[in-house]
Amino acid sequence: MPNERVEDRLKAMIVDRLMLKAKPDELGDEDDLIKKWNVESVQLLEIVIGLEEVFGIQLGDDEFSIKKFRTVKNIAEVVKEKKPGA
Amino acid sequence: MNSEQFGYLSDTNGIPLYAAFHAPAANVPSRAPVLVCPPLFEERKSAYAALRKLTLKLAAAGHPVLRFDHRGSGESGGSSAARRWPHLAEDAAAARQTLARLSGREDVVLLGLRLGATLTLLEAPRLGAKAVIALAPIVSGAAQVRLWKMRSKIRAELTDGESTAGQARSGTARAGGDAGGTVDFDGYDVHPAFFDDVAAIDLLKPPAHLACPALIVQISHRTDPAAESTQLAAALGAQAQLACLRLEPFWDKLDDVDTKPVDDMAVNWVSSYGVQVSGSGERSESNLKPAT
Repeated sequence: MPNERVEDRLKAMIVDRLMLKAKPDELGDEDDLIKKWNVESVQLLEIVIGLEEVFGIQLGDDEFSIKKFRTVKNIAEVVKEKKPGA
Repeated sequence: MNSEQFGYLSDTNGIPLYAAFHAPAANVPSRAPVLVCPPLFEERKSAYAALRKLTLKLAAAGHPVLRFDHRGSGESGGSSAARRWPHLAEDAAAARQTLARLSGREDVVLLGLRLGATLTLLEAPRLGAKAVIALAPIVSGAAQVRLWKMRSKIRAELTDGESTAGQARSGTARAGGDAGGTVDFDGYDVHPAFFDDVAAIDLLKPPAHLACPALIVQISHRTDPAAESTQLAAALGAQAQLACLRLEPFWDKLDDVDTKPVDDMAVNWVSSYGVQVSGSGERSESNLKPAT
């Protein structure tokens, strides 16, 4: 969906890949994924892989930080920075 | 009721390899022996209960089963800091030999999870495997090493707090090695070249073709095969089957994950795919070396 917000595409990807027991729109843009949704460290990796597969974005080993993956909004900023047209 | 025997393998160059032999249930037909090749590091710990449960189900279905710990891992002796990839293959060979001796049968099926699955696919010809079940194999070693590094960094950040993240432990899990001669990977001392060994693995490259039947089980959020899985099955040849299970990666979870779909698939496949051989050979009366 070309007009879909990056944040909404991310939510769908996160719910699917992490098999969260929630609907994508239940995730808030600024929800702390670790605290509110109990996302574990290895699941953050799943999100990194998801960015590669869904958005075609590959992060370098040193580009990852928890701060960038704390919320959907944070991740969306990474996507927009790496792929401005996303 | 299955009987379970714990102890150590012989013929491992003086390194005691811990193993558990599960005798097959007596009230069902005898089936092919199964060697369970475990993953390493945190994945071994997280998957331990699930693999043991699968082992019990295989034994209940008539399979003699041997589980073991690689050197420098679990209850085995040796040091993970000295362990290289070829040592894992040696360990599996010793375990296979012991299983054949204890079961009196040579038609051993290899079952592995993650790095253990990769090992089974690579070593199947040398180990004379009758069949292979590869659960969520690591296909690209280089990609896995990259993920390990990233995961290590995530853990360090979560442990150390974000204010010092990426500084205090930025050297963690570097494949190039640390000053002390070993690499600290999530609390495990690892030989610096071990990551290079793993990074060199590419199951899609020749000689990938397998001469025995193989079941490749993709375990992920997907119900359809990922491109990598399809490519792997194609590379392994006509005898490889690919199955997809939508299931949380239980080797990464501290919480209990219901792995019944994995158990059912493995038990059904191994008992129906022509690996069920009637009759039995000479069973050895000697046991594993007792655990002290």
